[in-house]
Amino acid sequence: MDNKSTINKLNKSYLVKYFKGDGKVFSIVFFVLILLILTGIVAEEQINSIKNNWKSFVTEELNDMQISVTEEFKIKENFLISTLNKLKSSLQSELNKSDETYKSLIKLINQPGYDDFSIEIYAPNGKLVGWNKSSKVLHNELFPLPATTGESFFLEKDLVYCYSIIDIFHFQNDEFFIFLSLPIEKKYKLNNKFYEKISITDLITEKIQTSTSIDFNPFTSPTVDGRKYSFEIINNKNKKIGLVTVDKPTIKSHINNIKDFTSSVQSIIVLLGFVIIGSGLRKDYKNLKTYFAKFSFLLTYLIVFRILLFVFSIPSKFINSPITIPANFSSTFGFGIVKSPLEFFVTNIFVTIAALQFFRYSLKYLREGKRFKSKIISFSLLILILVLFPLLLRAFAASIQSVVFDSKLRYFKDFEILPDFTVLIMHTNILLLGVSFLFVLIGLCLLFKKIISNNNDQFVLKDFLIVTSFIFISSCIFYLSSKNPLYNIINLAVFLLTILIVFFIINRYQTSRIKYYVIILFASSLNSVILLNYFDTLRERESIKNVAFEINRFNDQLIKFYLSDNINQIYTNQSEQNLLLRKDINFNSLAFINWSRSNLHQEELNSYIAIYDRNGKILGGFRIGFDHKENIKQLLGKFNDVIFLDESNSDSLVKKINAFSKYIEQGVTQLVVSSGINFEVTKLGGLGFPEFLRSDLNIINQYINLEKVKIFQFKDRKLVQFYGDVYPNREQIKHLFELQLDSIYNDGWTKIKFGDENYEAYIIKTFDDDSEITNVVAVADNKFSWSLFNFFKVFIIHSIFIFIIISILSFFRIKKLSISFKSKLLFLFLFISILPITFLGLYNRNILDERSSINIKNELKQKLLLVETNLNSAFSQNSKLGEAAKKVYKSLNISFNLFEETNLIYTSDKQFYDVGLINDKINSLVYYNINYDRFREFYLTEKIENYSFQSFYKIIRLKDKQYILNVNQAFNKSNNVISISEFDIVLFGIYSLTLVIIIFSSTLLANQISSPIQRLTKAAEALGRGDLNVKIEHNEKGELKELLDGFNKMTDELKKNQIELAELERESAWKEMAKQVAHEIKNPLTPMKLTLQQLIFTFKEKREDFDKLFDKVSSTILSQIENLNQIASEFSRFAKMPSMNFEKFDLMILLTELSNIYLNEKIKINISADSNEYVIENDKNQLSRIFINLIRNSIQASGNLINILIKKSDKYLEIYFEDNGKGISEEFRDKIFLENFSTKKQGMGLGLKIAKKYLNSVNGDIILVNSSQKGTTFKIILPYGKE
Amino acid sequence: MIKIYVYILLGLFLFNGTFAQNDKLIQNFKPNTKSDSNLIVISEIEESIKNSDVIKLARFINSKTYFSLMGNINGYYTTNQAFYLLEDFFKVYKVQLFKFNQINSFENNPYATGTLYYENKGRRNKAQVYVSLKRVGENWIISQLSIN
Repeated sequence: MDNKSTINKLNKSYLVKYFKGDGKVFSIVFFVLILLILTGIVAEEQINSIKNNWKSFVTEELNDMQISVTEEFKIKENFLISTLNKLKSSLQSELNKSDETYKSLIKLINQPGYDDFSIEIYAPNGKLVGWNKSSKVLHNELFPLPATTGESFFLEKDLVYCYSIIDIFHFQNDEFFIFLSLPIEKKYKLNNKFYEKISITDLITEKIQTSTSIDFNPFTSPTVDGRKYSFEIINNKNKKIGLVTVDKPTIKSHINNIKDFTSSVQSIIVLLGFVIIGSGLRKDYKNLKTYFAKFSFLLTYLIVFRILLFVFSIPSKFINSPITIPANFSSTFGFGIVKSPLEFFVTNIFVTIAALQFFRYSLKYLREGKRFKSKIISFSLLILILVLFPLLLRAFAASIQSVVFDSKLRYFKDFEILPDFTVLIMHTNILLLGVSFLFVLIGLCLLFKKIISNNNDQFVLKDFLIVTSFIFISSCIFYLSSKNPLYNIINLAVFLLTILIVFFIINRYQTSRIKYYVIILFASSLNSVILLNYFDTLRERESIKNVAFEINRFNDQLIKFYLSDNINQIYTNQSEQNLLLRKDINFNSLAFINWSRSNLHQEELNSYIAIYDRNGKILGGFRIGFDHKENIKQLLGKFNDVIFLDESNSDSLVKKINAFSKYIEQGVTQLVVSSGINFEVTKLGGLGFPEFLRSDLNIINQYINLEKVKIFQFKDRKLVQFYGDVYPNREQIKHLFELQLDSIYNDGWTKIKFGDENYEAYIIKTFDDDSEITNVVAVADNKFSWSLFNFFKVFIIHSIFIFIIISILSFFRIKKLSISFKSKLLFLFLFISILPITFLGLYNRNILDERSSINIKNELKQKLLLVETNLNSAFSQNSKLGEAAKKVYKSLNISFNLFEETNLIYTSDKQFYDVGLINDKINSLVYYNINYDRFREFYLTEKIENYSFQSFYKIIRLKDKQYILNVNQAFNKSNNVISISEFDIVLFGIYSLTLVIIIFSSTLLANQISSPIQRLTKAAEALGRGDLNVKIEHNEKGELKELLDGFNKMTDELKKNQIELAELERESAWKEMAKQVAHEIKNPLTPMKLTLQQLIFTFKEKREDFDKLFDKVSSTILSQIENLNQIASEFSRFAKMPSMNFEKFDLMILLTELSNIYLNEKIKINISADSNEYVIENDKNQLSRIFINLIRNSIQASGNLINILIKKSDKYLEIYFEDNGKGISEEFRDKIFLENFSTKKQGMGLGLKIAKKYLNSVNGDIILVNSSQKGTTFKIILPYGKE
Repeated sequence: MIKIYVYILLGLFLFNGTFAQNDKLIQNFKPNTKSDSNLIVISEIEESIKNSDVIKLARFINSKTYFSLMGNINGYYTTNQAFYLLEDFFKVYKVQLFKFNQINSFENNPYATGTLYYENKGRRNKAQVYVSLKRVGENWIISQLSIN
């Protein structure tokens, strides 16, 4: 029993002792475990509570939703009312003080602050007198009022719902009406950057996280569907103006939400626990003996951490953004740990940390580690490194290839320099990839060097060349023997060159780690951008294939599917059904709304949607690039399903298919809906679409810039269609058909030349019935300016990242911010070089912009003049203006608009006005300037959605009547010769290159100028600390030579003077001392002489008091002898060492300061210790002199590395000074501490002697530990008591 | 060293606590496009979509497959991307019911259309599915997959 309890006690104490210090970590981990269990219990409780009180929960939820939705509407309403009040007061004040009231009115309502609103001003009689540029309402007549004044209401227009209000303002005894509308719901949707999304439904759905529908009609009844809930929208006058219907929450989705939330919380708790465990393992990690063990430990931890993050989908779970979409990037590598840009970024962070540590450990191992004793292990490692190196190069190339190919992002397609956030994340990923690989590759080179040589990190050319050669040979062998190395010879040359340059710099120059990181970061960026560019070129080549696939994709089946699907969408959508049966609806708008929401717009297909009445007469429609029939009576027959009318031309491969379907209500045909697609190569990629109707989802435009592409379509070897401004000649066609194609895919590649440009062409052959269809897609090779632009576009982004990283790293290391002379010089050079170049660039850009703008204006003017001339001529021949205008448009192919007063009477682009996308009222600013300010012509910028375009208006006279003619950029493509984009590309590319050259040369220049000054500073510092042997070796000329030579001369003089002074002082001291001694000795000698003389006289006189006198004299003499003895002791004590000045200071700081003095000398000083601080009490100056003496001795012994190691041993500090100089000969080792012994030509040989003497006096010592031809080690022992 | 093992065990325990709440790890997949008649292929595709079986569906996908999916996913993607795109898609739009309504097994351009009933954030809705096939060598590959 006793044994058992003893064992238990021992075990317990063993466990306690073993885990001592981890108590805190354990308790936190235990707490985390408890939290985990608790969250599960709480979630279960919550779910049960919801299940039991579901009804009241639903009521509460619906109530909250209602409050939330009502609040949203209130915000809009308040915004509307406050704007109205502001407008009213502005009108009152402005109009009353202005003479030109109409001008003031127009100017005021067109201010930018009202751009979001539609404003109409009506006269007292209800006539429209003023409107702003955003006007959407435009009743020519105000009455009857749609609502009472001051009351908000919903106004339905063709394409938009508005929140509106009418009010009165008084001016000059009259009442004018303001009609103010705020669009809150657009009915249509466009997929491009110009589209301004306005949807209160989406806003509310997002806010309350439930499907919502809003009816802007005050007469709609609440829903009877039990799964939904309706509530009214009330205006500022407490009247119902609309109805909101939401889906009721379901218990299943709510429980799922709770489970998801709990799962997320638990994931975070587990992660937290893991992080805490990690912090607990830190000490064990530090105590690991070998670098290999440390690295393996860290790697394991990082891998587990990353797997945990992946399994718990952190942070992807919490972020809903394009950076989590696999379409933007994904790879199956690592079971999905890089399945989106964000996951890739997280993985990259971990990989970079591991790679950085690998590099750091390799460097430390090179400098301090012990070589492997076993030759077999060394040899195996060498082989492993030689195999790994080229494999890693390939892996790097494969990663960049994946970044390009497994992503729909196009890094170089568009001109924009500033990328969007997703592309920015991918740029960061590319940089981190490059950095990780480079760290590992450099680490391998360092390990290789360590294995073949034991020169630690001393630079030996032979070692460097051996490493370089082996790496080079192994990489070349791999490249040549590989079937698919993934990179070309130029890429390989750049890789190897950058890696070896970086390796050389790390080996040759001993500098701070941050400088190494800067070099590695820039080298990584260079490599990764070059690879990115290379693969993107290959990708662009592949994109040509996708264009060919797109052409082949549009077969009859697909077109028919699209058409029937679109028509069915109209019928199945409840709100669409309601609209179809209304008599007051604008069917053109309805058709446009459906077109915009369908794939007809998404894929930029020349198409139409039309709606007919039951008799086949057109009610309305929208078309683009495809005319539809106005009357389809003859087509109507007995059909209940979708019928197709195929108008395709099989000879020319033009596909033109129409679909018709009846809308039947209660057995009666109400309407017929028709849709059609016209697919042909000549109109590919939305060629005829105006910019504001383009689609960003059209695949062809995503892959490639269609302006660079030529497409040819052959049927049975005969050219039937082509896209672009050229087509191949007979020779070229022959060459295309003689090409050997792939047997499985029936495709191939070739080169073709058009004019001066070379093209890469892709050919694919397919079969349609019995016909052979050949599609050829050719794209022009990139110009050099583009390549330069592409390179710098990404390189500059990387440079910004690098600057941020270095700034953060430097911030933590620099305790005090100080700008050195070198930095000031560098900034000055950069400032005076970059500033004028930047101004020049901006100026040129500005000039070009202005020129471009003038060109556009002139072009529009010319077009307008042409139209005017032709109109005059056509109208004179034709009685109808509309007919004449149509004729002019057909012959000139210039889009134009004609206004009479404020109303549009003709437009070449009727469909856009019919649907309500563009106002058919003239721009009020134009109207004012032309009619009131009597401008003959007016030029301004107009907008459709957020698409801005230039517009030119002019007064013309046709048959003695005044009209306003308008030509604009929205519908007339500019032939502007000067392309701003092309200029920007060239400008950016060249200026970036110039910037790099400026930075590089400024840095070199600043270095060159400041280097001697730096060395002078350090030398002066060393001199100040008592090192009179300091000398600056240089090759300078001119004033700097004089300065540095002057300093050296000064040092020599100082040394000489110091020696002379010391001699003089010694002599003077001796003299003074002799004088003192003589003076002191004389004092007792005089009485001794006198008393002896007196004794001799008494003896000779044979006086009776001789005995008495003898006693007195003896006593006097003895006393004076004692005096003399005392004098001698005093002098002896004085001759001892001078007084010491003890103070407390940190030994680490002192050593660091001293090592900094020698930064510019050819010696590297490493300091390592168990602690960062050793506070001792000693004579700081004495110790400084001792250390300086040892350092100076090492330099003079041809050493270039000193390792200072501080160890604590009981009550002493042991400081080891180990250098790699030529050592001390064996015969002299016993004599080094003797006075006046020196192996140097100069010097008194007192340094080590004085050092030993001093150290002994403070209970320390200095010992020569060992010495050989490879170096010498001294050990200094200092007493150390913990403060 | 024992300390490390204790920590690792603790970590595994913590990890296991929530592991059960998460979906299984993604399995590696190897595409296998060998198939017989287009009707069989269409049937397999139908099953795959019904069961949201991305691995099975991925057998018929290559870089020539055009995707047009809800959520503005459209274009040509590599097999790597396609896998995760479809996986994410079926996670967001949970398939309740699916069947091809119309199948046309033309020799050169077979296609099928159907209606997919799905649930998204607790809301039920339906989408039209269009699948067309293309012969590449001996195999049938999906040339277009639309779910809108």
